[in-house]
Amino acid sequence: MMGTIFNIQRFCTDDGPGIRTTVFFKGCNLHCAWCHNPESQQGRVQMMYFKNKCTGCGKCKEKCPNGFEFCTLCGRCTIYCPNDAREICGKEYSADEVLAEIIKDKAYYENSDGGVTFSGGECMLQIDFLEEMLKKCKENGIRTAVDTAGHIPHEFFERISPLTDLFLYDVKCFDTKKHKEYTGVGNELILDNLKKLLEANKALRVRIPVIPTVNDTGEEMLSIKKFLDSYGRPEKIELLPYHSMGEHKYAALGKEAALFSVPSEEKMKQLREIF
Amino acid sequence: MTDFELFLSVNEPFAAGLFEFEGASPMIRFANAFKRFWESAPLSPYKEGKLYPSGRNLFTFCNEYTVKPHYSNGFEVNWGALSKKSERACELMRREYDLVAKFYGDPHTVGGMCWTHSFPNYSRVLSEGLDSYAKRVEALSDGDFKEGLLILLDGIRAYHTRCLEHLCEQGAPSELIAALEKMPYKPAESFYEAFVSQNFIYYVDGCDDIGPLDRTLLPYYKNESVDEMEALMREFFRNVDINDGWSGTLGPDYNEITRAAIRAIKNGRRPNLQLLVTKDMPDWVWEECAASLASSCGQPAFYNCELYKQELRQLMPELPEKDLARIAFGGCTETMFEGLSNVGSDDAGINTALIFSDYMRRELESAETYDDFYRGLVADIRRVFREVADLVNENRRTRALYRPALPRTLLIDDCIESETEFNAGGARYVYSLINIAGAVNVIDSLNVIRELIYEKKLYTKKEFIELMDARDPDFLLAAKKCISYGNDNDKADTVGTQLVSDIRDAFDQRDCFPRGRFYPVANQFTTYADAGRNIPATPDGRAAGEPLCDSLGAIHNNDRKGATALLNSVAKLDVKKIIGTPTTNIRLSKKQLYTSLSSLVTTFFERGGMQLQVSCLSREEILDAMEHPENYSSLVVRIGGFSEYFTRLSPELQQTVLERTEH
Repeated sequence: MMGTIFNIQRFCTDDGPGIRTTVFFKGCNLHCAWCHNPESQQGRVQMMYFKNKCTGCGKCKEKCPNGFEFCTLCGRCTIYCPNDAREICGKEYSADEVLAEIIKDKAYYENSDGGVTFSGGECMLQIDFLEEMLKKCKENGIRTAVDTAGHIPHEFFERISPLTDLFLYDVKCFDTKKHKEYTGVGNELILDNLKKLLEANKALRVRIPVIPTVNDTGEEMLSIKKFLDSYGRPEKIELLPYHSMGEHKYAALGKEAALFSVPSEEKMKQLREIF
Repeated sequence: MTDFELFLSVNEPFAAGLFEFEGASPMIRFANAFKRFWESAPLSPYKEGKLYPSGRNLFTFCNEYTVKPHYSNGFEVNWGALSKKSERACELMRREYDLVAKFYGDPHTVGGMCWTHSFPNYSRVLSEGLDSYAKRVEALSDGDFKEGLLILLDGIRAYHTRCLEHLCEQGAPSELIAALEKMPYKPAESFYEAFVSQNFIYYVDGCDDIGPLDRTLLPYYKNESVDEMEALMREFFRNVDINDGWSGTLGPDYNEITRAAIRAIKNGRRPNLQLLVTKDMPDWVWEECAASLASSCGQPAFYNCELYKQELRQLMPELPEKDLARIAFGGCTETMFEGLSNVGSDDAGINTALIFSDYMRRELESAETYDDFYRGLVADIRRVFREVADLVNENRRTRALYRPALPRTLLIDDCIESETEFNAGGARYVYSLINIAGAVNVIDSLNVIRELIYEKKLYTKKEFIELMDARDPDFLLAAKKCISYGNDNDKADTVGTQLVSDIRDAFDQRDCFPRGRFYPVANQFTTYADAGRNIPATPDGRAAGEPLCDSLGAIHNNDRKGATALLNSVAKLDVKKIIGTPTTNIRLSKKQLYTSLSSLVTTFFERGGMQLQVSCLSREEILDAMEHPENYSSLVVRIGGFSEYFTRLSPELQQTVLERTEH
C-alpha cells in the first residue's frame, strides 16, 4: 500500500511532546483561509514554482522533455534548477519507506517522550495507509500522535484510536456558519467527533489557531471552553497565533493567499487566560 | 657593555634577566628573566572589585617592553620595536629565538603552531599553598633545576609583594588585602581565599586556562550564596576575557559553583566553558545551560564525560582512575588533565583538504576504481602525517633544550618530583594533539567522486576536474545532488567513518617527543578560512579559496534533514577516535533549546557523540549584526571550538556563521 506524503520532517518540537518526526500527508477536506501548508490541500502530486528564487536562467525549460508545453511532473526541471525554484510537492511512499525514516530517530523519541506525528493535510483521509503506519510504529515501540481537523467519519477514529497515543485536534471556530465560510465545511461532525473522543477519555490536545477577525474574541474562546468543559478536559489546550509564513507557498502554487494580521502577544495572553 | 647591561639600558628586564649570567643554563636564565620581569613590570592599576591582579596581564599586554614572557613560546618579541631600540639587542634575541625549530608558514600549521596550552594544578596550590611548593623545591638535590625554581619563587614573591603594596596604596578593601597577604602561600581556608589564590595563580601562569573551577573550589564552599559566587565568577571571567584567556571546565559533579559559573558566563565570551555531561546530569543544570545559551553566547559547550573516559582508558591503560577523574579542557577545547599534563594542544595541523586536492589532481586519472583512489589518498595522508610529526618532534625537542616553561614546571605535577622541566617531559601525562582540518570537505568530495565518476560514470576523470575548476553549472548541480554527509545517509556517512579511522591509524606511525603519542583533534579555531585560501576548487562544490568546513558538522546547508539527522551522521564517524576533541556546531531556536536541549544532547552522546556546541541566533539577528556591528559589540558565537565576539570575526568568517544550517 502506498501513501502520498509531502514532507517527512525530523526534529519537530511543535507537534506533540518531545522530539518528533512529523509525517505530512497530502490532501485535506478543509480549505482554511489561513492554511500555512496550502500544498497539503490537494491530494495529488503538484509542481511548485518559487518565483523569488528564480533567476530566469532557463535551465528548466532547456531540460523539460515536453518543451514546457505541458507538465507530466517528471521532475527533471527540479533536478536542473540551480536555485531550487521548482519543487515537486508530494511523493508516493510505501509504509516501510516511511517507517525507515521515522525509526532513525527512535533513540531521540525515547529520551524525550517524543515519537511520530501524522499530520497533513488531513492524514485521516488516507485512513488505510495511516492505520498501517500506526500499526508499524506500535510494533516498533514508537509513540504515535495523529493531528486531525476531525471532519472525518467517526468509524475512522474507532479504527485508529487503539493505535494512537495522542490526538492533536484542531478546533477552528465554534460558530458553524463562520466555520463553513472560512474552511468550506460546517463544524458539526468535527465537534461530534471531539465530544466522543473526550467522553472516551482519549489523550487529546486541542489546538486552536487564533485568526484575527475570525475567532480572536473572548466570546469565541469561551464557547469552545464551555464545550470542552462539558465533555471532559483535554490534556492541553494550545492557542496557535496566525503567521504568514505560508504566504510564499500560495504564490508557488499559483494561488492567492488571504492575508490576516498577526495577533499581538498581549492578545494571545489574554485569550490563553480564558482557558 | 655586557648583553645584560645592554638590555637594562633599553629597559627590557625580561631579556636582561635572560642574559644576566653568562654561560648559565636555560633553566637559570629563564627563571632569572621571570624574576627580573616580575620585579619591575608595571602593574595593572587596581580600580575596584574583590580580586587582584585584575585587568591586563603584564606578560602579554605590558606595552613598556618589547620582549615579554609567554606561557607557550617562552617569550614573545615585538621585533620592529626592539630593532628601533637596539639592533644588537634584536640580534641577540633573534639568536635566542632561532634556537627552537619552527615551521610557521608551513601549510600544515592549521589550528596551531607549536602551541601548548595547559593549566596549573590549581587544586594543589589552593590546598597546600605555595610555601609547601617552596619546601618541596628546597628538598631537591642541588643543581640548576632546583636553583631555577627557587629563583622563580623569588620572582613570584616579588610580584606578590608589589601587588600587596599597590592594593594598600590604592585603598583596596581590607578583605582583599587580608586574603592576598595569605594567598597563595598558605592553604586556603575559605571560598573567597581560594578564589583569590586561583586568580593570582592564573596571572602567574600567564592567563591561559582556568581549569575545572567547580571541582577546584568545591572543598572551600560553605554557605556562599549563588549570587555572591556568581559576582566573583563574573569578575574572574572578565580577567580571563580581557587577557584573551581560554578554557574552563565544569562538571561532572554538579554543585552550586557549577550553577554560579553557568550564570556568570551568560552573555560572556571567555573562558570557553566546557561542561562534562553525564547520563544523570540533573535537570537544573540543563535549565541553567538553556538560559545561558538563549543569551546567544554559545556557552557552555557539552562534552560526553563517559565516552571521553572510556576512550582514554583504552588509549592510556596506565592512567589511574583518580587521574582520569581530573579530565578537563584547555586552549580552545583540547583534552587535558588538571595540573598533570603537557598535551602539545595545538602543535600542528593536517590540512586533509589540501592533501586531497593535490592528490586528486595528481592521481585521479590513474585510479581505476574508487577503492584504488581512496587507498592512494590514505597513503598520502599517512606520508604527510609523518612529515608533520617529524617537524613537531623537532620543535618539541628544541623547546625542551632551550625553552623551559618555568611557571608550569613549578605548578604542574610531577615536574618537581621528577626534577624534570615541563617541556622536557616533567608533566605526568605527555601527548601531542594534531589538528585535522577539512575532513568534511574530503568526505563529501569522496562521495561526489564515487557517485559521478565511478558509479554513474557521468564524466571522464579529465572532464570532471576541468568542469569542477570551471565551476560549470551542470557539474555543480550534479555534485549538489549527490548523497552527502550530515543527512543520516549510511552510504554517505560510511565514507567519513572510514576516513576518520584511517586518519587515526596514521597517527600511530610516530611517538611524540619526549614520550607519549600523537592524537587527532578537530578544532578549527578561526583557521578554517585561511586553510582553504590556497586550495583550488574541490568536488564538494567548494570554490577555489573558499573556507573549509568549520567543524565535524556538515558543510553549510548540506544537512537538509534536521539536527537529529546531522548528529546521527556525526556519531557514525566514530568521533571518539578524535580524542583531542571533535567539535560540532549546531544552531537551535530558543524554543528548541528550552524543550529539547537535554534529550538532543543526551541521545547524541548515547549514540557516540563527543562534543556539541550550540548557537542560538536567528538568521535575522546575524544579518543585522553584520549590518550594524555597533549594536552587537557583546554578541558571542562559538566558532571552531572556542568563543569569540561576532564583530571581531572577518566578514568571511561571519558569513560562515550565517550559513550554518538553522535546525
